[in-house]
Amino acid sequence: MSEDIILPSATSLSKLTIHDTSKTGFGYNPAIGPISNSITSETSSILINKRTITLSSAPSIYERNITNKKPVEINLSSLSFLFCEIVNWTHGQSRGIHDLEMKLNKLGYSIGQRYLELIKLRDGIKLNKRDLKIIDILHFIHGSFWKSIFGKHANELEKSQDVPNEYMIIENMPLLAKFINIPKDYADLNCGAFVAGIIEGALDSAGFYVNVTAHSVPMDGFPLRTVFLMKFDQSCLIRESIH
Amino acid sequence: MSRKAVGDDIWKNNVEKINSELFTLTYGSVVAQLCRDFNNNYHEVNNQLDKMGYNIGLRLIEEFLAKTGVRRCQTFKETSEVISKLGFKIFLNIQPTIENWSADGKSCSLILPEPNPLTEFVELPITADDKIAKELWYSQILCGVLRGALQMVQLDCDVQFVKDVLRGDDRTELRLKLNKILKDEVPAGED
Amino acid sequence: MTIYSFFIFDRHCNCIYNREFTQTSAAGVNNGLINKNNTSHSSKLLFGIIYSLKSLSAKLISENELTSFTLGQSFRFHFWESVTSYKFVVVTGYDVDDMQQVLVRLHQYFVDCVASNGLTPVEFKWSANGEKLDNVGYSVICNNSFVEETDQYLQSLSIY
Repeated sequence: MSEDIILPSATSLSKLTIHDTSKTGFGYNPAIGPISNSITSETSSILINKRTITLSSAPSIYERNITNKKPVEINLSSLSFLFCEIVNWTHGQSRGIHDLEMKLNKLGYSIGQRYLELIKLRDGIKLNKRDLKIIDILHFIHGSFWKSIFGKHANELEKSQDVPNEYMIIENMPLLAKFINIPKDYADLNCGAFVAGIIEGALDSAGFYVNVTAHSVPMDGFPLRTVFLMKFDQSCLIRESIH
Repeated sequence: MSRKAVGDDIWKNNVEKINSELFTLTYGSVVAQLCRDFNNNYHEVNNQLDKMGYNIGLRLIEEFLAKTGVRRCQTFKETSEVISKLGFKIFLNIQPTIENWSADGKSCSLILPEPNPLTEFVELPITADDKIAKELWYSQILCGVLRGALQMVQLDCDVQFVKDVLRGDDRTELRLKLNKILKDEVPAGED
Repeated sequence: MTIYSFFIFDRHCNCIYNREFTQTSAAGVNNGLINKNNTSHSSKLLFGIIYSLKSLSAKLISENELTSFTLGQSFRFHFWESVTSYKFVVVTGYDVDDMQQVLVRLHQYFVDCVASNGLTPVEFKWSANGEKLDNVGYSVICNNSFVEETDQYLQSLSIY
């Protein structure tokens, strides 16, 4: 049983990458995914060459301060325009609304992975601890993670009464849905799938294997209210029970 | 008030703001997805980013005009000022500099400051065949946005990148060229 | 004092929104017609008149843009054009004076509900011979929030 727990989940990785072997090169190749960062005899020689180039050329992004940089703001509309265009493009590439939501989820996924790293890196020096319990990581996602991304905490965090592995984060005013009025031919599309992907990416990278879906549950005064339903993998529950 | 002051003022008081990092990562996620969708054919990726930008430009100009109340510019020089001091400021919170005017006053360069919200955490993969660094214009979406927005105000322009820090150039430079000023369209069947 | 109808034309000379109000005593949201006469002869004529008057006024009085004109003793046409060539026209009774602020406000609704809403089109597709395409959703504005908000706004005006 313990083997199941320790084995890293390959499912999250395979979701993102096309199984294409890194041809040559070093550095992150978006078309290949994390595998492109692996060091082989071939890539290591490039890496060494790269070092010698870097010395003489302009400062690289690694020299910038990432942990205590002043937050830069931009117009919410810019993000909204970009997001709508992403939905339009993805819609054209999809076989249906479900497929479209899957694709949005996948786009969000890679953002969640990176955002988790970024926020933990910034917190790291002061609060150097890793969340081990589902409830701890969910407090983090609902709290400081949400705040870094959307500028505010999510509204509620709930646990399902009936199903032990189900939790919910509830957002009354989802930022990205604000401008979007779903036309008829998009049926019951929920653009929250993108944010669900962000949550899933972050939780998966933190070692909590989960499936996140977005459901629109309007309430008086909050027509866009969205529930993000998280179903944790059994292995997480087993791990909880051991600790 | 100078244009710069107007831009700063609108930015400060009349824009709903959000952390730029979500935008940066979202854009990165799209570019990466397009690279996958087009199987690393970076010319196709550039094209697609340009098209998406164009669609954005058609809309963005409406919000821009409503927020700024700008009426028609008299010269292309004025237009370029408005783009940099108002347009870029309001939407991306940066103000590119304008230089390299051609003798006929119809083309100029916009120099984007670094880091900018599109490329903040970005590094192109260093590969042996450096195809990506030769072919991909990572921020190509901006060209489309400018082209679309300018077309809506009847300026037919070519917009393209000529330099990009991500490719190892000394700066990120966008070239803007006015082709012609479009006339009002006439209803079909009449002349 | 009455508002009869409201039109929007895009830069390709197509009528992308047409709202005709039926004046009834019972104030209902759905009185009148929405996007029923976009391709009608009168809508095309209206565009033609505006187009010609606009060119004429640009020649005669270069500083002043066309804002309104009247037909006989019954109708007044109020006109405002965005820099992006969207033309907003409201037809009222003869006795309604300046409507420029109202038209600017209507444009603001257009920006908020149509332009900012990335999943509804801003470029409306018409066939080459100027007929509406079958897929109504893509040739005219049929965005509920736009219809509701502009209706509500126009009906709240004292001149309605």
